[in-house]
Amino acid sequence: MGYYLVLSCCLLIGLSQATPAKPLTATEVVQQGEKKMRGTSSYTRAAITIEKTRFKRTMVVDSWEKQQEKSFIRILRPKKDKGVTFLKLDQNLWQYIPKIGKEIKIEASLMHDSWMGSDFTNDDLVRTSSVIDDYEHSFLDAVDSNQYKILFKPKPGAPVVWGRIISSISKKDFLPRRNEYYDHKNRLKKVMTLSDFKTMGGRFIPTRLEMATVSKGRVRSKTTMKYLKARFNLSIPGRTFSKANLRR
Amino acid sequence: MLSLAFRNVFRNKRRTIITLLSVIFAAFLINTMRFMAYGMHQQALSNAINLNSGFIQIASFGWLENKPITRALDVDNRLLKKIQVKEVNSISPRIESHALASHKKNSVFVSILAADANLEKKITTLHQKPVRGKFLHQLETIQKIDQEGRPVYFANIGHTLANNLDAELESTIALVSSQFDGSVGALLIQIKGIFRTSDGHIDANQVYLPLEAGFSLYGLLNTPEKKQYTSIALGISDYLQAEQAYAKLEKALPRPELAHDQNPEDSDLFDPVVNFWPRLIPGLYQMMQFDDLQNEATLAFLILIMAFGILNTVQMSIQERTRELGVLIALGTRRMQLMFMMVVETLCILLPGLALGSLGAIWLGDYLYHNPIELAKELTEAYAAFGMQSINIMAIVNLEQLYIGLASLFLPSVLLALLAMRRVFKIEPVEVISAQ
Repeated sequence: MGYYLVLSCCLLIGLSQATPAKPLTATEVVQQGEKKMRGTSSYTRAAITIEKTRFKRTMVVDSWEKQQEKSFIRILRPKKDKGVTFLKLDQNLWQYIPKIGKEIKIEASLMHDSWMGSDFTNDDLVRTSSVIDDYEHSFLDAVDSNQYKILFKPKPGAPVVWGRIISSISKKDFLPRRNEYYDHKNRLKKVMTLSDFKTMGGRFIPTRLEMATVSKGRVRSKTTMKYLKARFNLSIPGRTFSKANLRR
Repeated sequence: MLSLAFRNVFRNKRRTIITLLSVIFAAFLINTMRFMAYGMHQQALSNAINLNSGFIQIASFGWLENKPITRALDVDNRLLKKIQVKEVNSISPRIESHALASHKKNSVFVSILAADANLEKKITTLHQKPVRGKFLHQLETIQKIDQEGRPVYFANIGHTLANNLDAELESTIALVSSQFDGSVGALLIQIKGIFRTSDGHIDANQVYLPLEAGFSLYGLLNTPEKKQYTSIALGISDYLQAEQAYAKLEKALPRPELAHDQNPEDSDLFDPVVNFWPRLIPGLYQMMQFDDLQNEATLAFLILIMAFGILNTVQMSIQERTRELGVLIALGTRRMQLMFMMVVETLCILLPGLALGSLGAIWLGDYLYHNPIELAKELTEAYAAFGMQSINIMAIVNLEQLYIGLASLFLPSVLLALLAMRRVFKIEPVEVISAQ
């Protein structure tokens, strides 16, 4: 009897001390996803296929990234684009064109222009803007109970082009499945679909990203990026992110 | 009535002469202004068309507004055959777009026009402008290979652009652009000729390249069966032939219909369409229309002044002869007969005045046509700074303009005179005869 009394007291004390689990904020959900998809450094090889009304072409690119400040891209195929490189250091972006043996600086105002004619922008590829730092996040009502629906609203003065972004993020792995990009007049302009989730380079990531440009409810063109290889948290030599490397 | 009318015209000689002179002066001034406006407009049009655009171009639907390279035109022999109507003397396929030109530490956005220089000679007059070095059609070859094995195409640029790039003859410039499929287009060019037109915009922005350079820079299709160009300029002798050719080509290449809120540049229709000069140089077309409107407003004042002068003369004439008119009415003359007499009086002043004034205007117009007044050098440079070619002050005597001028003077004058003549119907013979 005494034993059960002590046990009951312990249980009562324990229950009174327990606090309920704190739900994640929208920002925390986004941060979780970013942490999962990126490391402190990464290397990827991807095939980028651009489909427009009058042509379709595929490029193969190698890409190195260190945190969010340094990024280097080299185009391997096709032959006419081979050797074109991009270097991003902080907010500056350079492009090297082997045909003329010159590098050109891409001004900040051009960061939201199309990258190599694709539906991705220069900013998408080299990530000068941050989905965490440049946006405020809040939950919306989700249609699918397995997903968070999060609204990204740009912070005042943030160097972003979108009026808002709506992202559907899996509750299971915090990885986005679909992003909708709206302009300042609230018109849907782009839709990114993430699929083919696999473990690559030790991380579970979407290996197929499809960005579609939308106009008046119709898909005008799309670009598909398929990751062929990926490695994370690797040691990348500093000379990779140098202007000299642009011409190598 | 007629003899009465003639007698009445010379009754007050001073007033008649003054009125006649005012009609002569108005007719002279108005017709001269019309001939000059017409002449200067035709000159501006001719300059613009001959230097660059041509009267008519064929391009793909939705290309003309912003000239995106992605809306290049697919050209095969079938299309070429369709556009060669009787009025077309020559054709010149072109590749027109934009690029970033870079030399030393200078970079400038430029307009590129790549074409066969020998075909362009038949359509534009650029080759007649002063040049340092040589025009492309004067060169024996269009490219060379540099030390690194890269092709370097030869080019012509304007003197202002050369200054902006700090470039000289034989300088090598890098061009970077976006290709048809979105990839990066890049090319090295060497300046072989620096030209000077009187069009500030062309001198500051235009780079002329061989056609092959355009294919290379923009990644356009170039096979024996099919090629891609951005436009085809048609060589046509004169404006009248151009209008006839345009009518035929519009039927052969109908413009696609779109929903009212759809932008042609966003459409999936790439059909070849015909663009006439108002579409090719809308700025000039609108400027001409605005200028016409301004001129008409100014001329309207002159016409009103002259017409009120006629009105005044008729009113005074009736006022002075009220008793006489009353007597005529009392003697049985019908009021309509009196009206007729007054109309003849008015025409006796108006018609000779218009004729003499118009003859004077025709003489001056013809003189200015053969002896245009050239603008001062500073004014020419001021025009060029605004991207406009300077034009001489000249006139073209044109029958259509003459008829419009005469009608615009004659009709208001007669109308106001008739209004004044209504007074005849209010004359009471007994009252006016018995009045002291």
